[in-house]
Amino acid sequence: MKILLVTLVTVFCLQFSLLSYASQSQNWQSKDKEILLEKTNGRLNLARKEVQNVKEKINFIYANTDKTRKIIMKERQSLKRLIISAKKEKKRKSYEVNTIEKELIRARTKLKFKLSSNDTSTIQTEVIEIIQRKDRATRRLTQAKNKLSLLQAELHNTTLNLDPRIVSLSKEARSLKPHLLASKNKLYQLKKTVEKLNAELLASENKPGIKNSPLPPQKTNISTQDHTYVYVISGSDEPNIESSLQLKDWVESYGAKYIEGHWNNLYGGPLSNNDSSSKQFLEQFETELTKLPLKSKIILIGHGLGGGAVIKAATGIAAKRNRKIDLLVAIDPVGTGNLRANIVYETKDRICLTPKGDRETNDNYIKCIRNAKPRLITQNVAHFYNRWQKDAQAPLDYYKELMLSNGDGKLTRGVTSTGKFKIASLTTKANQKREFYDRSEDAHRKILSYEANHLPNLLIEHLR
Amino acid sequence: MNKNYFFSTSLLLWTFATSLVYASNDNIIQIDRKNGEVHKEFIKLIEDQVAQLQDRSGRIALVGGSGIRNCTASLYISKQTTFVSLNINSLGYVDEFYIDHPSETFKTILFQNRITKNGSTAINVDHKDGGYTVKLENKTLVIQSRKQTSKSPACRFPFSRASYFNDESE
Repeated sequence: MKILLVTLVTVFCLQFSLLSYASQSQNWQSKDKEILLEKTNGRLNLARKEVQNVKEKINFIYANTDKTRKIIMKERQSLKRLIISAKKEKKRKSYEVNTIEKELIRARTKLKFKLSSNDTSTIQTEVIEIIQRKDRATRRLTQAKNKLSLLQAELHNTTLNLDPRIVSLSKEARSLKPHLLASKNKLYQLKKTVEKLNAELLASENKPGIKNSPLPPQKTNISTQDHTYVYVISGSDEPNIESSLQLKDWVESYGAKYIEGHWNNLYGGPLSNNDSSSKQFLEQFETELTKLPLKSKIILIGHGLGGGAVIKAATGIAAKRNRKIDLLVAIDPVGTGNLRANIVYETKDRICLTPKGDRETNDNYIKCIRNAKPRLITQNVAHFYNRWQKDAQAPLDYYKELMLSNGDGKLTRGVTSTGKFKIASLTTKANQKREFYDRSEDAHRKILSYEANHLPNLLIEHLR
Repeated sequence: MNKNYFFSTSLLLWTFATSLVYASNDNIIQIDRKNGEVHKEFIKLIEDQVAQLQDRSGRIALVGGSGIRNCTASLYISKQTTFVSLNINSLGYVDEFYIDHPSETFKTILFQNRITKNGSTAINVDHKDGGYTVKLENKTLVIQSRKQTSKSPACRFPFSRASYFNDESE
């Protein structure tokens, strides 16, 4: 009996010591991670300073280049003046040659008429004299031409970018660029490590065994509460709009999350280019929305089918869940079947079909948009920015007008779907505009690159 | 010397005469460089036609011409702005522009004037890369637009031939 009791006590003690050892080792691990995080943060700051230094150096070189350019320009002004005077000289000399030539022709004709008479010697000497004068003038003209060509060659050789002073400065700037790139890469890697460590520490904090650990409160750089989430959704015609927008690094520098997706798949590449439905994207967005903290800011940006998808996400899913969309940007948005009509109008039950040019489908299209209810930009959207074009395809109903048949057999014209949305509430700040590209075939892409310049101005107030 | 004297005197006289003509006939008023001001002036100009649209917004389709050429235009009117689409088929000329826009920047706008002359009123807006003139003459709207490389002839659109479409926008 005693032996049994002793064994039980030993087993219990062993279990207890094992458990405490495990929790202790977890504590040590998290402490190690914390130390590592601190070290990485230090290195991160150093890397930031390094990037800043290199940037400053490059900017200094650029400023110097500008100054040198101005100096060279001044120098070139005097050279240009010389060229102008050389040109004038050349013109004068060629005029002189021409006049002598005319004189010579006149003298020769005179000589022809006087050949029959005996008194030709004076005219002949006159002709010889003129020929000699002409030779001298031609020599002077060649000299002037040579001078001009020499000066022009000198000017050509000293084109701004070929000037040795500029060349050396740009060489210096170029040599610094790889250094900047390497520093930026280092910074990026360190940021990633910090993020990873933060996440690991957060996870370990949430583990039940560690909850009461004597660790001090976690020091994280990233707040998980008040993040701004920027969703950038591409369409089928331009599968990666980030290549035109170039916003990722800039947005992330404000501590915002930048999520890239497609109209039919929020995570990763498009599922199929032929399917214009954004059903899966909307489902994924709904799940995503449940995960986002309530205080977080949400910004949606979409182009083409992506534009249509973000409009549906904001006015459908976010509105249903009463989630505020801080900024909704739609660039040339299209809906089901790649038609503008199917996004500007609520055509859930009876979608509009592509007008193909024949009167019947054109008539059906116009009837469809006339009978459909306009889609409302709901109250939950705080700021709506919309740009569209009617110059080129992407929306299959991009035409400005369609030929329709009148009841009497006469032809009339009907206007295709507008790109302008109706706004449900006055509290929504709306900025909607049609852009013109003078029938450029590339208008759908051009509108994207044009808006890439404007988007930072729009985003900045939400990111700061 | 005499020639120069004659030239400068005649130039002076011509300037004086033209300024007199302008002072007597033209009344040029600068329109404020604020969003919506040109639109307000434009709506005043075609008030009777805008009143025919339900909710004062929609499309006014205009048919007219310039000499032997046929012109068509659509005015898409909303509460904040008017979008003009001008088409001269025989010249292949198409121009589309906003009379002004709530988010318009005034950096590119050189002048925006209201000119009254001999009973007709015109709105003239000059951009760095173009512009337009819209003039009302006896129930006829005259539209002329300018682009960087080309210029439309002055198209005359009598309001008697206008059609009205509610709820249509650009």
